[in-house]
Amino acid sequence: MAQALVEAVDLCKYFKTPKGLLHAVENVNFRIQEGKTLGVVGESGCGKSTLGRTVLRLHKATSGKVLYEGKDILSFSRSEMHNVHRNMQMIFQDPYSSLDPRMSIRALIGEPLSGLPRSERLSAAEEKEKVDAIMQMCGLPLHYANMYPHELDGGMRQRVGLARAMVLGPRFIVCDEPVSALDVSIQAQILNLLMDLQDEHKLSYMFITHDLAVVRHISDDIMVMYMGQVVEYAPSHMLFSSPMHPYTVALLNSIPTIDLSRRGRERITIHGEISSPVNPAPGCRFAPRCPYATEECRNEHKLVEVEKGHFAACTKGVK
Amino acid sequence: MKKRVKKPLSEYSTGELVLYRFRKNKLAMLGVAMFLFVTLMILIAPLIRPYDMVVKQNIADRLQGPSSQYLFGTDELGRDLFSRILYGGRISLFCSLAIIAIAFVSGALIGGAAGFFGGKVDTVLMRIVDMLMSVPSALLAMAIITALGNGVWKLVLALSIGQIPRFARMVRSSVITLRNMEYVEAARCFGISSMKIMLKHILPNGIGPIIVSATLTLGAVILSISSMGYLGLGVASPTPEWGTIISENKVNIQYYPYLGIFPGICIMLTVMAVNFIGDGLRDAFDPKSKN
Repeated sequence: MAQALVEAVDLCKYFKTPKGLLHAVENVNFRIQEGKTLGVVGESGCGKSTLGRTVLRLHKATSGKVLYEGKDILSFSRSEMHNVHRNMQMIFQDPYSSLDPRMSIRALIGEPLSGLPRSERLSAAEEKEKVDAIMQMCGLPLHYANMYPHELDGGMRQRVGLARAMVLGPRFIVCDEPVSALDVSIQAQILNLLMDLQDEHKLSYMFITHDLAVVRHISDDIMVMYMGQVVEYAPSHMLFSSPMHPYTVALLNSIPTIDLSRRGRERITIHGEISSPVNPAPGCRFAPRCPYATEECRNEHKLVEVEKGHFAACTKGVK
Repeated sequence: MKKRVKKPLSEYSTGELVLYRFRKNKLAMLGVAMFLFVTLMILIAPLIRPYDMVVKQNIADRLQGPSSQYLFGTDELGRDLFSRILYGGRISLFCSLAIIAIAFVSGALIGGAAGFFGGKVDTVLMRIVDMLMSVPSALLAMAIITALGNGVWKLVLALSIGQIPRFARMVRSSVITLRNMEYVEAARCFGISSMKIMLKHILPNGIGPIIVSATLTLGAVILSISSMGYLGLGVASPTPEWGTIISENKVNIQYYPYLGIFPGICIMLTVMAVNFIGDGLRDAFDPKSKN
C-alpha cells in the first residue's frame, strides 16, 4: 500500500484525574491517504474529539505515534512544529467560541500567517491578497472582511473557521464536528464546500461527527469508537452494508428512516448507561451493555481483519 | 471651503473604529474634559496662585467662608484653601495615577503569568500574593515607608505594593477563563506563540473589567495617601494633598462644612472623570457595542 499521508500507530491518550487515569483514547491505529476522508463516529464523550486534538498535538499523547508522510510529528521539536502547523490544520466545532470576538474577519483569517517563522512572513499587501483569495475560495463575500464575528451567522462563521484553516495551505484537516452547531440547510452548504475544496486541493480530512448521515455522505473510511476504543474500522460502503460489531449495528439501526417498508423493523436498543472511562476494566468496554457479551469479552479487545480492509473488534453483531 | 469626505464606517481600521466609538460616547468625552480641566488647573497652578499662599498663615483671616479673596475659604490657620487644593492636586492626582499604574502593570504581569502557565508557576506566584494580602495594606505600606524613609516616591512604591494583590487575582481569574476558550486553542493550532496569544487574544478580551476596577480604585488610593499623611508618613502637613486637607480640617468640618466639601468635590470629580474614561475605553474596545 502506498505511504499514507497521515497515520496513527497505537495512539493513546490518558488524562490524570483525581479518581485515576481516564482512558480517553486507547491504542488507535488509522491511515489516511491523500485526498481521502476518514470519518470518526461515536457518541458524546467517546474520545473522538480528544483523538483529533491528540493527532494535532493540541493534547500531548501518552504513547504511540502520529506519522505525517512517515515522520513522527510527536517527536518534533518546537522549531520543527511549523511544518505541522502548515500542513495539518483543524476546524472547530463551535463557530461562535472559536473566533475571537475582538478581531475583524480579515484579522482572523490572516492570523495563522502571523505564526509563520520570520523568514516566511508575508508583507501587508501580500497578506491582504492572500486573505482575499482565501475568502473567495471559501465563499465569503469580500465586504465581510472588516466585519466582526458577531455580525455573521453560524454558516458564515464556520466558513471563516474553514478559511482560517485553509490559509496556510494544509494537506490534512481535522474537522471536529464542523456542522453539528449549524442548521441542516447550512450543514449541506458547508459539507459541499468541504468536498469541493477536497477535490480542488487533494485535501485529506479526519471528519469527527456523531451524525451518521453526514459521515456516510463524506467519508471514504469510517472508524467507530466506543469509550476510547476503536470497535470497527472499514471502508464506508462495507460498514453500512455489513456492520459486524454489536455497537455499530445498534448505531446504524438508530438512524431514522422514511422507508415505510422498514416500518415494522425490529428496533435494537442499547440498555444501561455508559460506564466510567476512569480506570476501566480490561477487555471490551461495550461488554456491560452488550446483549451478546460472554465471559471472554471481558478479557480481550483486539481489532481483527474480518474481510479485506474491514476491521472489527467483535463480529457478534452479524445476524 | 473644502468639504471633508467621510469614509464609510466599514472601511475604518480597528484603531479608527475604537477612536470613533470612544468619541461618540458622550459620558467618556465628558470624563476626558473633566480630567483635562483638573489636570490643567493643577499644572498651571503657579500662574493662578503663588506657592506662598499654600503655606502662608494668616490667623486674622482664619476660618473665613468662600469669598472673592479666598475662593474656597480659609482653614483654621488662615491658609487659602483654593491654593492648597490647586497645589495639593499634584500629589493627589499624579501619585495616585502612578500608584495605580505600577500596581496595574505588576499585578497584570504576576496574575497573567500565574493564570496562563498554571501549575507550579501559579502556585508559587499566588502564594506570594497571598502573603501580601494577609498583611493589611495600610500596615504593609506603613512598614515599607518606615523601612525606606519618608518621601513621595517611597510612598508611591509602598502603596502600590499594597494594591498589587487585587489586580493580580483579578487578572489571573480572567486569564484562566480566557485561556480555555476555543479561539485560544485555535491560535495554538496555528502555531502562534504564547506571548502573541497573551497580547492579541487574552489581553484585549480580559482587560475591560480590570480597567473599570482600576479607575474605581483611584478614589481609594487618593484617600489612602491621605491616611498615610495623617499618620505622618509620606506627605505630611504643611505640604497640601487633597486627602490630607480633609483630615487636617476634620475637627472644623462640622461647623465649617466647606472645608470638607471643596477637597471632597475635587476627589469625586477626578474619580468620576477617570471612571467615565475607563468605562468609555471598555466600550470602545468592544466591537459589539453600537457604532
